[in-house]
Amino acid sequence: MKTEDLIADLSRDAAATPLRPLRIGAALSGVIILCAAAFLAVAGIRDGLGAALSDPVIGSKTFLPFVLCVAAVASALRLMRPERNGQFRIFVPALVGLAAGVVLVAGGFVAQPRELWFAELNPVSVTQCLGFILLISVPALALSFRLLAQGATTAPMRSGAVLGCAVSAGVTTGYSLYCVQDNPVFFVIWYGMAILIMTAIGALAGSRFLRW
Amino acid sequence: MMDEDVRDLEGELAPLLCAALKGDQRAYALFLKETTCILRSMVALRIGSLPQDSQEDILQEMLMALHAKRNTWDMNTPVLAWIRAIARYKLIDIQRRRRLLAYVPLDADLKAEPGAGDVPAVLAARDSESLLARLDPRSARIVRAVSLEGDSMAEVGHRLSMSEGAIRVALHRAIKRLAAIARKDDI
Repeated sequence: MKTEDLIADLSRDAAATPLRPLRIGAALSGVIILCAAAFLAVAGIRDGLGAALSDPVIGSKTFLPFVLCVAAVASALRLMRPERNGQFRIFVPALVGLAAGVVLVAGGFVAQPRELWFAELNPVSVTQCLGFILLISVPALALSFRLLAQGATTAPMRSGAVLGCAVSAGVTTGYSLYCVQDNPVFFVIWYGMAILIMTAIGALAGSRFLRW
Repeated sequence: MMDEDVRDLEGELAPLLCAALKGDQRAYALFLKETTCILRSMVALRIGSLPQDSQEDILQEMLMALHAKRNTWDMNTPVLAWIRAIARYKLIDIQRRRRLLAYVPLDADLKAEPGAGDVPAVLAARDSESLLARLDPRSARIVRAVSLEGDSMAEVGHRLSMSEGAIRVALHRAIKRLAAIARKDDI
């Protein structure tokens, strides 16, 4: 086919609805909230949620993933534009989150007697924490990929990683309303682990499903 | 039309695409025509050593990608940056795919003798001499003789006093190394 003919063909189909990242962002948030809410509807909310949230250390297990989720969603939306693959601006929020996590763990070591540091560390509680977060994150991530594919990322792996981080951080925020492990040594490590795993899964899936 | 040097491509293309997205077919045809010139020069710059018809194929594939993703342009940002980003992405994608295509059969079957005709895609895709210069002299000589000049493996083996099998293995390894060099250059 000659290039001029191709141009003539393509030009017959000119109109297109411009991409609206904010609308996609709203849908993305909806997916995350829906999946987390479905879990909470079944599992229920922890006792004394109000008191827990107003405690700065315990509240941070809800607050930190929430901030990370917002930053990562913004970054994923930005990457939907092909020319913006250098501007994903997630490093600063991620580093701040990491620093906060380290401070929390260190604080946990200082504030608690040695025998309580890893008191909750048993296969059941770890499986529950990691398992639930991953279990809710996977369908949410699958749905989110469909939304993000409407864009044209020129960095599919990066987009996927950021999306995996956004989804799992959002799900973790929801999960924290159920979880009663209030030892920062426990929740920072295992929430962090769940988010890292989903970020890695997102990166792998992104390099495959976000190509176009 | 204005002189090449003083043309304001950005100023011309942005309103055209803007009108096109609202359904103006004439504006879109003009936009695509102008964009094709930009893409053609990018293709010539990056893979100018490929045969003309493959260059045209790649150009068309880039145009189709641009068309499929035309809604991702943000009207408040420069359209040229957007075009170049998509074109670059597509070019890298296409080159990667072609390299994979060229190498799978070689890896899969060492015994298959590369005929004189099928020059490996890495060599076709860029200045072959500058790539060959980065191999050791003997490997470069083998690749040049078999892949570029079309000598048979037996002939080359006789000249270098190596067995035909040894030539085949050396050629295979050299081409894999060339692909690795080319890949590193791309990144």
